[in-house]
Amino acid sequence: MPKAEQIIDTSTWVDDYSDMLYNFSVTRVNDHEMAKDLVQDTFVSAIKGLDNFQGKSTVKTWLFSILKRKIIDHWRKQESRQTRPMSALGTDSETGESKVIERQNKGAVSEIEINYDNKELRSAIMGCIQELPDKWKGIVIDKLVEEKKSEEVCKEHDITASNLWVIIHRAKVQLRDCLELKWFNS
Amino acid sequence: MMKCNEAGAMMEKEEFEKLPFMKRFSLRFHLMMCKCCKGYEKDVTPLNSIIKSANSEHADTSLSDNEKSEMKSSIAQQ
Repeated sequence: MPKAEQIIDTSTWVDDYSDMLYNFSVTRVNDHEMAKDLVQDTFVSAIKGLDNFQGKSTVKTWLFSILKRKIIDHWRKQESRQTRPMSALGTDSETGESKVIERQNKGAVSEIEINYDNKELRSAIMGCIQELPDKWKGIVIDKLVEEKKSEEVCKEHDITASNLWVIIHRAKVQLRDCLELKWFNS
Repeated sequence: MMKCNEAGAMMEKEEFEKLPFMKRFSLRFHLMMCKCCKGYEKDVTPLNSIIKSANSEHADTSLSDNEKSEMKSSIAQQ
């Protein structure tokens, strides 16, 4: 059992891995302190569970897999606290018609001038992404924010290629409604 | 005829890869007939650009040396 401990020197982990873990985490939780805490928790869990690390993957991969689980747990906690104001929107169901008209009065996503230095726009879209269902959130970030390859995203989230586009579409419809609400109503 | 769900998914896919001829044709046909999907079509590309900008302002920054040493001592305590 102590074989792993003998080889792995955990004292350099913070210097070696904290920045890359933090970058991954902050993109997904959009909160500096929370992102930092998740990284710290990752190191603590990893050190406690060092016996479970069998050297099949690299330390880096292993730490990332722990962090990913922690981020998902964080999203779940966040989701159960939220009243989910957006969940009623986002589909063109029976009531879709009136929403379409309502939306047009306020303004449309296609009218937004996209400027990457626009902090308000960035914070609006990040807020909307946080409101997506957990399952979609990671997929949207991987595919549309970090622009990973489709095959990679499907493998990571265990979905089929056609499922990927259906999820992306549903998520984007919700994001559009959320963004138009936030952008043109404030 | 292609359903709205599929048309939506195809529009997303088309942002990243070329659709097979028949899919492309069915999608165009659907868009000619369906006002709802036609309305979404103009949002497909701008939405992707906006979502892409959702990189945290903290991204590509590193933790300060101070934060790292704090982290090291908290880890050591646990």
